[in-house]
Amino acid sequence: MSAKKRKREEEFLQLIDSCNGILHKVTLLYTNNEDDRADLLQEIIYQCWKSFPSFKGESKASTWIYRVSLNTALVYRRNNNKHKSKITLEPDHIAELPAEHTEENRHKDALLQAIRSLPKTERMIITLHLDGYSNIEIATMIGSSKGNISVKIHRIKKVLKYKLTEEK
Amino acid sequence: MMDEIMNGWKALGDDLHNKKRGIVEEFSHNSSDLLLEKLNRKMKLGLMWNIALIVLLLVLGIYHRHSGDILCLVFAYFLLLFGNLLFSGRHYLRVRKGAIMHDNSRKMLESYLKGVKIILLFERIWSLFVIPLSLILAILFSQLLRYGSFREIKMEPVIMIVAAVLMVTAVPVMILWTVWSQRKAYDNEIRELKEMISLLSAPE
Repeated sequence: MSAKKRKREEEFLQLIDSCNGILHKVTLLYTNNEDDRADLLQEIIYQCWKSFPSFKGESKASTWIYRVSLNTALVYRRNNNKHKSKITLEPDHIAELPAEHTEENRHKDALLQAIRSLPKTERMIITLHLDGYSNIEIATMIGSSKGNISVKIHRIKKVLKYKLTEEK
Repeated sequence: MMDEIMNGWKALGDDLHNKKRGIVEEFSHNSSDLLLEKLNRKMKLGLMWNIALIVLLLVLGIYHRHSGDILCLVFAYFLLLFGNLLFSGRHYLRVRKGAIMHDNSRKMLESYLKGVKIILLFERIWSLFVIPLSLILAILFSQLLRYGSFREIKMEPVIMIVAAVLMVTAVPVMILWTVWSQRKAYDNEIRELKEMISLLSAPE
C-alpha cells in the first residue's frame, strides 16, 4: 500500500472512530443480533470508504456518516450465509451496564425495542429527530418534504408513546 | 412521556458514545453483501463470459475462414453476442458503481432499485434470446460441419425431432426457470425497496 493511500486510510479510520457512537446506534437499531451487527458495521464502513473521496467537508463529518450509515442500513438485508465479517463486536451494551442501573437499562431497552419495531424508514426519521436534526434537515437528508416529515414524526411519536406505555 | 423518550435516547447515545474506541482496525476494501453489489459482480461475470464467447467465435471464424457458410453462421452468432455486449455493457457501466450512499435516501433507493432491475433484465435477455438462438445456431453449425454448405444440408428427421423437442421443452424450461428463480430470489427485496420509496415520497 502506498504512503499516500495509507495516510488516507488513517484519516478515514480516525473519522470513523470519532463517530463511533453513530455507527453503534445505527447497527443497534437495524439488527437483532451480534453477528448481523458486525456484518452491518462492516458494510457501513465499506460504503463510507467508497464514498470517502466525495466527502469534501461541506457538511459535518457526523452528518455525512449518519447519512451513509442510515442509507446502508435501509438496503441492508440479513445475510444467511456464513458469518464472514472481519469485525468482532463486544456483547450488547445493555448487558455490560452496571447492575444498579437496571431500571434505567430496562427503560432504554424498551425504547430500543419500540424503535426497532418501526418500519425501516420511520426508524430513520425518528432517529434523526431524536438526535436533534430539524425537520428541514431530515427532509433534505431523506429526500422528502418538510410537511411529510412533520406528519410522520407526529405519528411515530404517538406509536412510540403507545408502545412504551403498554410496556409499563 | 416525550421527555422520557428523549432522556432514554440521550442515555442510550451516551452509552454508545463512551464505548471503547478503535474497534475498527481492519476493514474490507472491496467486498459488499448488498444485493446491488452482488448482482453487479454477477453481471460482470456474465459480460466476461460474453467476451470469452466472442473471442472463441473469432478463433472459430479464422479457423473456418475458407468456408463462406460457416463464416455467415459465426458472424450471425457474433452479431447476437456483440449486440448483447453493447446493450448490457452500456447498462453495466451505469450501475457498476452501485447506488451513491451519500445521496438523499429517496434518490439512493431509486438508483438502487433501477440498478437491480437493469441487471435482472440482463439475466432475462440471456435466457429469452441468447440461449434459444444459440441452440438453433449450434444445430445449424453441426450440420454445416457435416455437409459443408447450407445447400447440401439435408436435415435428418432425427435432428429435426431433437431440435423441435429441445425448442419446446428445454428452452421454455430455461426461460421459466430464470423468471421463477428471479422472482423467488429478489421479489421480496424489490417490493420492500418500492415500499420504502413510496413511503418517503408520498405526501400525507
